[in-house]
Amino acid sequence: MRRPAGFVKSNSKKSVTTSAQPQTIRTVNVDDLYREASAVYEAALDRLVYAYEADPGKRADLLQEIHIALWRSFGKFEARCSLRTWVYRVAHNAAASYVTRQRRNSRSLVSLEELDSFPNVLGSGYDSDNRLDTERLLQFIHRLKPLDRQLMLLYLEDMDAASIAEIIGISINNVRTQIHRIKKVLARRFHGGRQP
Amino acid sequence: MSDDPKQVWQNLKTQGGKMSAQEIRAKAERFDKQMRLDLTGGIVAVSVLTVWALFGLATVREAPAEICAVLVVAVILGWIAVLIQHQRRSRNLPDDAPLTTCLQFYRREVQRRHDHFAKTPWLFLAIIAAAGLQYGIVIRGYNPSPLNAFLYPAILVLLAFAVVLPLWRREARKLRREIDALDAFERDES
Repeated sequence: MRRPAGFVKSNSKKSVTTSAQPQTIRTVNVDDLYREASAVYEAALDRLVYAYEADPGKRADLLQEIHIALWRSFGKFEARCSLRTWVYRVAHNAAASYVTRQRRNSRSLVSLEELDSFPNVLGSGYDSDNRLDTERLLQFIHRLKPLDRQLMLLYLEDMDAASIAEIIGISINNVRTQIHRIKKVLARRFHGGRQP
Repeated sequence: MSDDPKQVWQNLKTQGGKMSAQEIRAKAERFDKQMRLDLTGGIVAVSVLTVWALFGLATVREAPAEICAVLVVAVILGWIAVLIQHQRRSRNLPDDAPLTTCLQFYRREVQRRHDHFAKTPWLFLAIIAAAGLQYGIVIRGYNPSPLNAFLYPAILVLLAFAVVLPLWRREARKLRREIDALDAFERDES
């Protein structure tokens, strides 16, 4: 059968159960999933871009790349994991891919342990009003290798260990170990040794 | 003002722009179209250049040696430019990226780069050999001595090999260490 002029083949409709309606199966399309993800996680994605790109002029490009990757990905979403896990995996994978493509900068990235062993040239991390300085925190994060950065960001987004484990792909015990290290490093770097 | 890094982070003021599904769809389609156009245009341009160069080389008896050399270089550089441009433009995530954990994804990226550097860079070495060949084509017009015709180009080619191969191997070793570090990271439960 010939399709009428102007017919646009849309992405296939999928029957999925989203995190918003765990008990109801409804038919959604890619655009609906994207709208839902974008509405819920817009701020988190914006912050993620700040953590992966120090140049303000390039942040818009990275953000666009992530949104495009997210939109494309929903063609394969089958609700085998939560929407949150899906969104964070796509976003972090897209950002990690972006970082590894920046060959010149990626050579100087270090692990959390290595960075903690460097002298604290970033200062105490406090500004003149004794508030934790987000710029120094961002500078610290920008030095980290992709996986350490992902762990740090998921911790800062206040995710539980089980969710972090599912996104990163390591055991929950490993996540707890890494979080313990992150807390110690943040305390040393930004609180003069005091726990937050 | 809170000293909690989490609160400070989550209160970060950003300037991100909201994008509608329609805008993203349009951007994705534009991006794909541009990639296809660039690649197609590059391939067509270099194919025309290659055919023209081959025609020129087929009449090498009449064509000056310098022109043959320029044609060879132009064709080689043209194909390299097309390949580099295509690689740079290929920013689409693999289809299974959402199904892959961050560790698996990153490990695969590093492994891919390691495998690239672990292999002998035949393409690059072929370019160096082609450069030696074109040198021979150019120099023959000047009735060179065997030293100039063969020894010097051979020495230059071997020097190029001696510089490029160790750099390639060093990058492969560095990436191998990174893969080992990722394996250790995955196992770390101390």
